[in-house]
Amino acid sequence: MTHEDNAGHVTVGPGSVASLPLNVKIRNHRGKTVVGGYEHFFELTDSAAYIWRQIDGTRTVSDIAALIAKEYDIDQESATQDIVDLFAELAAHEVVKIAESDSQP
Amino acid sequence: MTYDMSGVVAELERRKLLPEHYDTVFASGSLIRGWGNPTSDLDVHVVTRDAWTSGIDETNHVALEPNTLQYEQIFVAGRRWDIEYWTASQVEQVLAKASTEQFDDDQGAWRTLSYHEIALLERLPYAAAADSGAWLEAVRGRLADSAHRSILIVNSLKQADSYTEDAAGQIARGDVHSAVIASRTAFNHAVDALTASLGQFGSLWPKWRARRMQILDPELLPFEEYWAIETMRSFDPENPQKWIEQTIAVCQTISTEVSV
Repeated sequence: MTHEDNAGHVTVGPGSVASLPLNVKIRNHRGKTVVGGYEHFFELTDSAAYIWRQIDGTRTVSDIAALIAKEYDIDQESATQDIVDLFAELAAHEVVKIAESDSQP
Repeated sequence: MTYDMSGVVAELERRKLLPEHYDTVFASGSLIRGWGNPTSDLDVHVVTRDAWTSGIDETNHVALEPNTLQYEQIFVAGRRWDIEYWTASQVEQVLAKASTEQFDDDQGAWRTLSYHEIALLERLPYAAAADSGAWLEAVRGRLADSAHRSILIVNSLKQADSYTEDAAGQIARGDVHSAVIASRTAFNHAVDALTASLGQFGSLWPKWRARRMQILDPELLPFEEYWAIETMRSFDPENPQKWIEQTIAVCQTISTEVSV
């Protein structure tokens, strides 16, 4: 179930879990990852493409942030914010689905 | 074991099925790949200077000039030979459509490749020459420098996208049976894209998909994992949506990792 606020915006937090909708479109154009929903397409940066590859419907934003922090040698807080921003934008255009982790309190 | 090509030109000449001027004769298909069986036919291609006038009523449309292919059919020692005539100009037009310039152009002519033109592009890499082989070698060199592989990958990925979109819509409507079929078809096209990316072409011949996957055993989708999905081994009639989601997830991984 998509997590939305009262205004209909998708809210993403450290405990959110992203998964790919069935009809998402993905292309790897000579190393550049382009993803899209029914209408909108996004060219992902290298780090965003790395985040994209970690989406498995199980890992939380925090889980992925830990991987990003290690891969790109940045602090986890910054990594978490980058992922939250990315997922919020992609979710707003139905390129990812957002749910809250079952293991969250 | 592949087909002995040494007598092909002589046989065509004997039957008066070769024009006075032609550029090359080659054959393709399962017999040439070593996958043939007693009922397999031999797909012979003749590249002519001028359009061949066929003695039979079979013809097919191509988005080229001239816009038809001509055919002959004979039996040689109990085996059927399907002979397909292309003019040298038609082959040139197909190669021009497959150029990198056309592929990089949003309105490029590669989008107009018709079924039989794609078939030619998929067959050329495995064709066996009935002559010196110089023509085939030259054409393969041009294909290697073209967008040949990218075009065949994209064609399959586009098909996969189309069927996953169908599956999503069908599930939303509660039509799970149709969604299963759409997902399975999407998977087949995604696997064709994967094999094309690794140099094994043949999307128009799905019956050989397992052969291609056996040859490649790709790291991204090892043969056994592929075969489990192809044979729907984990499909649960009580929960078909789970199989659909797992199968489309594999398609998405292929789309993410296969470089166009």
